Amino acid sequence: MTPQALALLVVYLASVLACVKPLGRYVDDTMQGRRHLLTRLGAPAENWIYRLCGVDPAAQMGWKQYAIALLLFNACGALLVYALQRAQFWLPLNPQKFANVPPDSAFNTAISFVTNTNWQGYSGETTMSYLTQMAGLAVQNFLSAATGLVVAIALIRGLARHETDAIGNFWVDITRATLYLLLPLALLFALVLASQGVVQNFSADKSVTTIEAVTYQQPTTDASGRMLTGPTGGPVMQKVSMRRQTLPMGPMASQEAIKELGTNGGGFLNANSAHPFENPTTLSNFAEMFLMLLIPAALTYAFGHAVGDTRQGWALLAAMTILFVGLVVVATVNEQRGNPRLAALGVDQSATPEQSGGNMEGKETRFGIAASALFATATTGTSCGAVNSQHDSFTPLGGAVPLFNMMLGEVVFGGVGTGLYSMLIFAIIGVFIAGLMIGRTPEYLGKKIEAFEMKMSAIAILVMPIIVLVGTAIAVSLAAGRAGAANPGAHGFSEILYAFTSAGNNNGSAFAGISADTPFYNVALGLVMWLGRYWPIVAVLAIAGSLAAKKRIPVTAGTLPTHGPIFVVLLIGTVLLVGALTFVPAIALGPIAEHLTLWGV
Amino acid sequence: MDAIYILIIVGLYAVTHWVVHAVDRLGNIE
Repeated sequence: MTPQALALLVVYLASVLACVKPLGRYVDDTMQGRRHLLTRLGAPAENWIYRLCGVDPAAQMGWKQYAIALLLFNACGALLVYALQRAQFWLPLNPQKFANVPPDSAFNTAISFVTNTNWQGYSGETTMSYLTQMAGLAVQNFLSAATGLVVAIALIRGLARHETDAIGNFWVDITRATLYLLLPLALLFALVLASQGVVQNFSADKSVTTIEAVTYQQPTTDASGRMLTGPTGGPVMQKVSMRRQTLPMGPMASQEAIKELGTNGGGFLNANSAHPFENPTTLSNFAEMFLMLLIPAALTYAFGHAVGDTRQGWALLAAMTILFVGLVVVATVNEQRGNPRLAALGVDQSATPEQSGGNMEGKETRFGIAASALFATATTGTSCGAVNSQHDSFTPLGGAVPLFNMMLGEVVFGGVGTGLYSMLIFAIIGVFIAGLMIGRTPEYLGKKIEAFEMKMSAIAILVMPIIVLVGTAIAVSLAAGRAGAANPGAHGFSEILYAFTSAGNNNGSAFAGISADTPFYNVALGLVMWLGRYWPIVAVLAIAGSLAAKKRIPVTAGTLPTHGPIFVVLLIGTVLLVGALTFVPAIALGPIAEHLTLWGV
Repeated sequence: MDAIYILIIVGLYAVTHWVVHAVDRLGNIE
């Protein structure tokens, strides 16, 4: 790693870790209903929402009621986003007069944003009206993040409470998470991003004349904007020469802030955070990376605080941080090594004061190798999925890091809420394995881990690999699936595998090479996103309910301490083994085969 | 076409709703 890359990583982690305790405490206080300045200021609005919706904020829910409320809320959200896209032509705030979104694309996008995936088969600046972007997509950015958060809070309550059926009130939790956590932070950082030059207006796109003509090849599309394919299934290309350029406008900064804060990742523009209108400066880039990890990291402290032992939270944070640093180093080192094919042509890929060096294909010169590799690791370790470089153009092993990050189940540091509850599931599996080794009933935080919790943990962990691997297998078996990949061989396989991994983990980032706006991919990935989101959530809430009903057992000499270095190592081992063992064959067929081919090993 | 995709969303909700009840039954049995 270059000194600059190392310095960036240190400053980045220091910034995030410095906020863990204050923000974690704030989250716990807010979600447990303790009064503070913002809750006092927001109380009238909060109470008005409850009155409007007929919610009794004092009522408590069992896990089943909580899960059904969550599912109903999200299904209604999906229907609303679908309807908004299908009617946008007749609705206001559509200065470009964009047509209604095709049904399969609208379905995919509705599921995508409700599940916090934000996979984008469409190009935002040429498809979505401002109303759809704001009232549909940005609203779901808030609500889907809040949904993940409340599931984590419910699981925390399950661990913290005893001999009760109650794990909270879904309607109260989602209101508080949105009103007191996501909205204030998103507002603050929208202003920060706007100060850096991120566009925020309601103007129609602007057309300007360029200094030089630009000639390039692009896929041909039909009247609805869908790519036309030829007899071989590949895109029909056309040569285009342009002297006019359209500059996209719109309310970007407001969407950009929650995009990262809520680990959503859906860009206003197709190029996402690689576009200078979404992410213009190194400072805006740093702010975006900071936002991705902010809440997931802070939730570890909120967890420790809620269960009355902050060391438990620090242990989870330590495991996440160690994994994160390792993955950043692998990604950065491989991207800085550059491309041997270019080296053979005499291209200078060394890092100098004038250039980043390394593999700069698909990366922005204003970010270079360090900020691109760090962004890629952060966006896939969390469930964000925003991109400031094209992961498709990473070296095989550099590109394997984002892929592997997602395959681990996004626990480094994970999405808002999803990272914590997924890590807690790994912790439960970890103590179970430790219990097997010493022949003792496993326990975690004073709760016995029994058959039901293990069955639910197995479901929560196994749903994702099953839908990812089966989905990939089906896609590579069908012509409709293979047609989307822009490259043959191992790289094409990686593109398809990446798409299903991203959808199954609700990440949403893409290996840019794949053309996914086809009925096959829109439907297949839509189904995978839904199953990958809600089936594990049901299992996690069931665990929360089961744990809440248990008695707390006292700590004895035989209790495995879950706050020390041994547990951190056990947890990291569990995460790596489950992730690695499940996906090694698929990774071998994709990135590793490509790496061996590229380097001629 | 809209009816098909709306049905898929409703169907996904219905199946997941059923999963909640199935998991609950499993918990009660145990």
